[in-house]
Amino acid sequence: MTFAPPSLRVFGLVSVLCIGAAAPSFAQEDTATEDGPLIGEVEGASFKLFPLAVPDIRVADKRSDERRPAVGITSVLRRDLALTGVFEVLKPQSYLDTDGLAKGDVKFDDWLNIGADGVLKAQLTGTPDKFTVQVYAYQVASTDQVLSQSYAGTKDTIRDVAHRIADDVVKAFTGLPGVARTHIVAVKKVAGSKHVFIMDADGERQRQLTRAGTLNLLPSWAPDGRSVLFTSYRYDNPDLFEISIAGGPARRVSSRPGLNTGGRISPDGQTIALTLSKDGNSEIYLLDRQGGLKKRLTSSWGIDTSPYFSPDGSNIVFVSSRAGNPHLYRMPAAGGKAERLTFQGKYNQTPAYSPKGNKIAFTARDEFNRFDLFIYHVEDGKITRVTQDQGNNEDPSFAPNGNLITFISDRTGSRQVWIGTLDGRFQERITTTGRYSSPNWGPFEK
Amino acid sequence: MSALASRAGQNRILMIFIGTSLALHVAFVVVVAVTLSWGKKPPAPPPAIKTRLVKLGKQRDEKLLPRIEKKAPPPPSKKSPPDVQKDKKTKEPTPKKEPDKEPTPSAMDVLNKFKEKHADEQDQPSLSDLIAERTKTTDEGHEQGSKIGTEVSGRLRATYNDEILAKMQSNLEVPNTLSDEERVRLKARVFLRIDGDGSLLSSKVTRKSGNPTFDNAVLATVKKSAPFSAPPLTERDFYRNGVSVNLCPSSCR
Repeated sequence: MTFAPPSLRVFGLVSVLCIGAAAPSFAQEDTATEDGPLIGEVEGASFKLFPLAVPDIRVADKRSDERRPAVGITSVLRRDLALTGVFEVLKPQSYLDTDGLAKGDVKFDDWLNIGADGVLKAQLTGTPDKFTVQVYAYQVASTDQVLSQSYAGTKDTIRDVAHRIADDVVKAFTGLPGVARTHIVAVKKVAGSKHVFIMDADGERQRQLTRAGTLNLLPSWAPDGRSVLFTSYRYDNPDLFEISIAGGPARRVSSRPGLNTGGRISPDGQTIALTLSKDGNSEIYLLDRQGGLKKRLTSSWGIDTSPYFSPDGSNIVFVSSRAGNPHLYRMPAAGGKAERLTFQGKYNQTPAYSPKGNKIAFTARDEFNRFDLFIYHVEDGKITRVTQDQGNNEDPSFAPNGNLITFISDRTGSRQVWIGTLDGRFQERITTTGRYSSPNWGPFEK
Repeated sequence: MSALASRAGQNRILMIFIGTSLALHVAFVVVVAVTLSWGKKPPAPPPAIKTRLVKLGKQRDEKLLPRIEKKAPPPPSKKSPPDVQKDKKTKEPTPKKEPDKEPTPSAMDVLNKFKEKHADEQDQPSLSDLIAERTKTTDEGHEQGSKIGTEVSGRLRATYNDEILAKMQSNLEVPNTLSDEERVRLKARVFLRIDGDGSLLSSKVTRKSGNPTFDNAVLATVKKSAPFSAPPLTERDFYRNGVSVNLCPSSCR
């Protein structure tokens, strides 16, 4: 993959200028004066999604069977890019798309006229069984080429190719890694049972991970993205299990009397934090990966639950009712004094650290008894709201790039998996059927 | 005696007449007043309106979770859908936008004022003289100096600058991918050349912000703002040669 460095972009710009008559009228004109008298300053921009044109991927041979992979990739790619919370994929009906793919052949003024700030151009060559897609991405106004990359694929990897392109496009335009190739696990109700499912970040390609038992709950990813912890009642007690996403039987990690729930693996992969009630009250404990008891972290009369490691592993945020109502608390992962984080609301739960550790998303019940998503800002302790007046919204989990969260919402009548930005301006449902709970967004593919 | 008695009798009659007249008038007034007031219904008491201050001045309880402020819906956009077939040069120039601040005199106002100010001068230049003089400049300038001077041309430029800056400001849209730190820090300078009819001859980012996406947005802002209205007649060469503008996501200071 090649992201054009600035020097190459300048070279590209000069090349376009040299094309002369062939260059679009919109291209930069060379001027004798490089700078002029400063007449003022324009400040106070409005912020918007990045308008991006994604025309159909072209094929050399326009027979229908040849077009199939191109149509499939285009469709998945547009959806992936729309789900980034970064781009506004412009309606294809507005595209003229009569220009070429290479920089000198792109009619940038056509794309500017439909409001595009960026445009993707791609062509597929080969057969439907084995093909290559050449992708170019341009900044429209500056005519900079920001991506030129080819992707090999087969008929079975159409979605994977589209996800790879989407992630590279996000990286090219924003400098941030995309999450199209990541996965989400969630609990789905199936014929009276609840099982852990894994799906692409766009909700597609769902696969059932657990088969045994009737109640499998609270899945959470291992930091290497290869396995998932979950709680299951398959032996009539809420025990902690770990299962590989590649398949195979689940391994029982903790089966102590009472609760063995809400397991989270530390960022270094060595420790599991979970809630145990083996001594009567629900407390936070640390286990090693094999399930051996390492340490008891909390000791209070209230219920302590939902531990979540900070990204550097130095502390744990959890929920405790020690002050009368459930609130968020933080304590060193090695043990120590717990510090209360939230004082607003009366029912705060399911905390989740952001990948940078500067935010904690959580669910809270507001004064209208609705559950909504909130963000606790670690730096100043302020709380901002993500969802409001849109049904109940619960169980947030950050995407590994920190730009998005996944959560459950019942605003459409049934509990579905949604993703959205932290300011709540972009929210999109990624599942349409079934009933879901406890989504957890996995790490980047390794 | 009889005359006196007769006079006293007359006075008595007069007094009786006056008294009777007064009594009748008073009675008439009373009857009229009663009649008028009889037909009038007493004013109904105003309907009781119970009100409660919902928002004004009332702080949200700090123990409650925050709520998202609902913004007023934006006014309906007057923008027509872009016509991709339309040639750029056939576009109508955008009507002049009224600045929000103190109204700035137009170019013609400035010229008229100038003419009034110099009305008593014998060699008062006509508008065409002024234009001719302005366009006649050479590399070495005028031998006698310009009759227009820098003040008028400066005000003409200031008026036009305000206009194009306001138009660019209304079009300055930046992708939300910028980090909070970048929104504060970024600054780009764009050099633009405007033709005599207000069309954009060229634009170029001459001082890059360091963020290619923002630089792209800056150029897009300039291009979306074009065509501008035509520059003042006497200043066309100035804008044809090009001017620079700084653009910042939040503040340039």
